[in-house]
Amino acid sequence: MAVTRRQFLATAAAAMLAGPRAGGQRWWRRLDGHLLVPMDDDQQNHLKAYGLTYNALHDGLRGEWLLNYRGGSFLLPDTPDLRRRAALDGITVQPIDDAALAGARAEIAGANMDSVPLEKAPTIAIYKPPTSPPWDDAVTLAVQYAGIPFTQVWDDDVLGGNLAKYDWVHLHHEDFTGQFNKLYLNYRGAPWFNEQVIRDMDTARRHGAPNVPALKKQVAEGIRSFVERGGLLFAMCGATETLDLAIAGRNVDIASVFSDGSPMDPNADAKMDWARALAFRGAHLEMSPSINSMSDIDGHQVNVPSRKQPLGVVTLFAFSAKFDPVATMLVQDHRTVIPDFYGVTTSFTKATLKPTDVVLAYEEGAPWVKYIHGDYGKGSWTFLGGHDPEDPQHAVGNPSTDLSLHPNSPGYRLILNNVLFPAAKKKPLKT
Amino acid sequence: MPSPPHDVASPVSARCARRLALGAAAGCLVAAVPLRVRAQDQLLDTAYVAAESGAWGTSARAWRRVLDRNPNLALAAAMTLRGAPPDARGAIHDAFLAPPLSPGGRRTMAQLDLAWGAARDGWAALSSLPRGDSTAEAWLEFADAARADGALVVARDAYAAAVSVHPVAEVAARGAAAALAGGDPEGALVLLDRAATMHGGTDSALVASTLLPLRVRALARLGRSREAEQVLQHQAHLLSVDARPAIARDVTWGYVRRGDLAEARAAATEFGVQDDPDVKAWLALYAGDLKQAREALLHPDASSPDVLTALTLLTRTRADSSAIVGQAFLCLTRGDTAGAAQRFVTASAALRDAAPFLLATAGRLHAAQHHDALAIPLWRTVVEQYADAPEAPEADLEWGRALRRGADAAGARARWEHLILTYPESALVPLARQELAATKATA
Repeated sequence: MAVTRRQFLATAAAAMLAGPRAGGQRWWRRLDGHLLVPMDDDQQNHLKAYGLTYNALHDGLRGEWLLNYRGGSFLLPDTPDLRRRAALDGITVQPIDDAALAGARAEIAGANMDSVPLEKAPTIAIYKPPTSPPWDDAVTLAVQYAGIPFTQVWDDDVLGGNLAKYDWVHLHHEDFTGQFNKLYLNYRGAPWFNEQVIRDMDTARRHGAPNVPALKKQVAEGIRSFVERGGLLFAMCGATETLDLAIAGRNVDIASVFSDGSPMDPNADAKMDWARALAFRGAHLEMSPSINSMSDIDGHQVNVPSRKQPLGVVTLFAFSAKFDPVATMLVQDHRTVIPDFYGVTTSFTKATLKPTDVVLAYEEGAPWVKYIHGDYGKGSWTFLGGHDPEDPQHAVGNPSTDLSLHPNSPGYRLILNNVLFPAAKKKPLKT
Repeated sequence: MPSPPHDVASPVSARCARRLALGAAAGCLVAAVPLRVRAQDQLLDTAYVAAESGAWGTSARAWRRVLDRNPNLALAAAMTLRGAPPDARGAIHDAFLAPPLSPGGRRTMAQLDLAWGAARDGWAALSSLPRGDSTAEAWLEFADAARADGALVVARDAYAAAVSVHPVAEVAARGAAAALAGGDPEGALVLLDRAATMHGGTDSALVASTLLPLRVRALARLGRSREAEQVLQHQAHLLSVDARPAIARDVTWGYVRRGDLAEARAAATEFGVQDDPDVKAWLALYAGDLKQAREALLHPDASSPDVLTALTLLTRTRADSSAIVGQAFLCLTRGDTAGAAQRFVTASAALRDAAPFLLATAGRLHAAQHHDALAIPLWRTVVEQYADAPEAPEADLEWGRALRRGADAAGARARWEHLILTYPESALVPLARQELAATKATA
């Protein structure tokens, strides 16, 4: 159902070649008035603005994403209900008439800006455990704060083929190598950790998997298939790295003895099938069970004291809005430089990226990048390193971030760009 | 997501983590190592690491064993465990309160209960320790902490227990002050009577600075203004010139509290505070003389809800007199909240220019007494009949809160949405949004 970067470009190019009449009557002409949702510093609540736009689409309205125009503004029909919602949520909206809109379009036409129609609210699933672990999930926080509806899915849903129901799936923090993020090092006796182990072992038994690493490889394969068939995947933190490790290591023992009863294959590095992976290649696995790291994909290695790298700042890449709209959508922000933040996987070393990966954000002079995107089969994936953009040192057991204190968070905007970008469609695709 | 920074920084944690890692490598992923085989330093490691892991009961049991040998680590134990969530606190209580009686465990439990807002439970844990020097010291320490935390009646009990071991007048005075501030003037007088016989109880400086003012205030609070007046007359020579007006005012308010304005005026005259602007203003206000009250209450020397209410009313109405308003403030001073609210509502019919303020004040008083059924009609009247009044947004907010307390979530949301949409510039809009978000989260 969704559009990949490649398909978007093809469709847009065809429309450009066909001339201005190709799309028929421009849909915004059918509206009596417009509400501009500015996304620059005039906006009082950037995060809820995404919810306003999403729910307008969900209710059958259409909109536009004015890429690079005033921080990546939205254009919506001027209806009493939208004005009311905006007022209730403290979202800045500006009614504009046709003359003002024409002026804006002229400015967009003459600069590195573009207008992307938003036609249908994507269906969203968040892959998260049924019980609450002692850490938060930035995407769940963001969509809940913005008022965007989502469905929670877990291993049974993935293995039951239910992902096909959704346009967009988010993964957070799961360790798809089945090693429980190596949290046994510090949290072996914690009730929540024991509960997680027991739950995953039970799920493995129900699905005929001999152990948790085998179960998680099946789940990773389900997610890979979802993307291959046209789904959109967004992952943060440890899910980015471990998903690709599980996919590439499908036929290799990459789990330590404590999780599957057998040591890692000493030749695991050489046996990894990176051609199947989404984003990475040639990474080296961490062979020690007592070192809290999975591989050298992560540049920061926050939980390995001797390897830990300090946080810097991340720069969003400036793309051509007219020729690379998908990447441009993913980096819409009112700030181009944002503070970095740690996660189990904080960043992605350049040496392990596939050549086709699109780097969306990077740290100047560092051997790693922060935010990447790519196509895979008929779908696409986006990976953002780190755990919580507004809590750079977030540790197990810390309270959840209260987003009402960060309504203008530039880091959280990156997450919500991903939620909304599947709404930009030209034609339906079968997943 | 990184592990807690102290996991890396603390040698204790690192040592323990290494042990856990070795255990894990041996294949015992979930099993716990029995506490009984651990030496003292291992217990300490376990106490810290288990708390970091959220295994609060395990940590508390380890701390208990550590504290049985070294009670001086009570503060460290309390600091480690104070982050335990409510559902984990039962296990912590079980560990520290289990027999035999452990001084270190009891001190830890008392500090934890105090931090968790259960000061009475904390005192129950501590009060059963056998009397002695170290126990009295713990009681005094707890009393000071409880007083600072606002648990005044518990502080009174702890001070009283401490002076029963070491009778020191200054400590008894602290207990009396806590009792008085906690609404127990009778208990304050008991402690003050005992203080007179204790070490330092006749020290003139202590009497003048603390014991005498407390006694006068306690007697006035009890409505025993005549006795308060006599005490002040007998010991006035001990007081400095600067200290007298405040104590004289206490005596005057004692008469006011009894509803005896004539005696209050007489006492004010006798002690020379009749021209004190505060005394003058309030006595005028109680008598319904709004004009004199307005002139005198320009610079009140105390800030309390009553002062703010009076000042606002006097600036909102042009009326020069209103006996019913005087009665309402007199009711407030005497602690008759319901009577005050009723009179403010009655006054709103006469003082039309201040009607929304008077109605909102009555609404606040009813709400403070949890009488939402009485408050809601007042909020409704303010919102519907005085929509342009400065009290209207507050009335909307409070009307919604009252509806939410009555389990009418939809009605509450409607009120808060009305506030946001009708008064978008109001400073209460963020609060209304918070209420809306909280209601949605619990729906």
